[in-house]
Amino acid sequence: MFLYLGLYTWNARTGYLDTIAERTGLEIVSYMLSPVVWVKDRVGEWWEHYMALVDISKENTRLRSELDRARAEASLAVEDRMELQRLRALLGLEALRKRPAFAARVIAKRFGPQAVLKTFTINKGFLDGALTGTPVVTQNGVVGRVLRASPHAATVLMVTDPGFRLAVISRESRTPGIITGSINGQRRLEMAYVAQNARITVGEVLVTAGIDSSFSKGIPVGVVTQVTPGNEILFQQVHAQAIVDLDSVEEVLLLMEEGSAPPALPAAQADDSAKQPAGALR
Amino acid sequence: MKTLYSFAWWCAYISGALFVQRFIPGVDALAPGFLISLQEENRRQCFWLFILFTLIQEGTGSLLFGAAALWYGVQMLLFRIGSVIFVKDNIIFIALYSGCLGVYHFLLTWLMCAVQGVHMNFETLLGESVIQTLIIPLIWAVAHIVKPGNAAGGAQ
Repeated sequence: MFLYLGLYTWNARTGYLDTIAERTGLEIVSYMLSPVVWVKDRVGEWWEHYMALVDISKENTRLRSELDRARAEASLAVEDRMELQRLRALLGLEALRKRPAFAARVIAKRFGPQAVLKTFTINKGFLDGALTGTPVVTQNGVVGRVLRASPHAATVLMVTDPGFRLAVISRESRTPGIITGSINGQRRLEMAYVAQNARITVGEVLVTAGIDSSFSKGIPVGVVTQVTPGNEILFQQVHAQAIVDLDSVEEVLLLMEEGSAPPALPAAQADDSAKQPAGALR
Repeated sequence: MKTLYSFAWWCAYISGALFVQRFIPGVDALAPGFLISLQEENRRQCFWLFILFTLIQEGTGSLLFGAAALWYGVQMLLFRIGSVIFVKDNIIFIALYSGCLGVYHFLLTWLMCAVQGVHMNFETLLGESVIQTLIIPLIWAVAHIVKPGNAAGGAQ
């Protein structure tokens, strides 16, 4: 027990064991989950496109299989087009015009018994540019920040976690405040330090204030859902809803420091990306 | 050859367990595998699995290093105490072991959150502890049956 407490205290001060765990455990999971996710996707497609046709009579087999192939191709084309639209929208975000960015895929959410914070795992790590503190967004707005990173995977702390802090400003009334997540509710946010005389209203969009230099100014964060005057405190109580539906996020965009170059893609991937804009995903 | 076979089995088990963890947030699907290893009484295997499972859970988690080490450490202690009283692959022992781990999951997470000043939803934690209790015997039973040498003669 003394040994454990000694190690725990030493690690809390130095963070050496955390670093070792990040760079091994997270990496192992990334390598083991990627093929599993790939197999799951392929099996899902196979099940969807072929197994449903097993009980069709023999006379219709040829026609049905042709129809099925056509449907499968159409379905894949729709999926590709939707992904392309999402990524085009990502690239159209104002923040990206100013800063280099790269896309990542979500491979797991709140993974394991120690994942008590609202987090998800992405398939890009510090070798790809996903350093601790890197801002994470989608085409709709702020998602969170990189909390921990291994060479090829990273854990992202969501904006809805109570430990998340971000300086914001309301779009119309220009009311500043600090947004934090909430324990209750999947998308609930709380805006702290809103002055009693601020004219913030329900329905206003909260955007990043650009004060902390990690997030560019003007990225949507949430929509105000409730404003209550504080009776015995100096500030109003403002509740908001996260603008991004974090449960359905599949791809995200990581914003890099201004002036830095986006991570280089492997040769084969670079060829693909030349053919289609969605090639940055892997 | 036997070592290679065992290595392949554990790789397959870990892949499957990580897949389960991907779909059920906040639970440990590697714990039943650790129980199987404890039942096999292979100390070297237990040691390496302890290191590997601790690194995986700590690396993917969001708390400071220490919770996973305590989690698997207490599992070893529970198994030692339990195996004195019960037959180690008896279903009652597995049920009690799972129940204790469910409670321990709740207490450990709550303690670690309190120590590290992390906010945690009480209801979510309670739900995950219940799932943790239920999932251990389920995965253990499947893995115990599938693992070569266990189906006919029980744990070695």
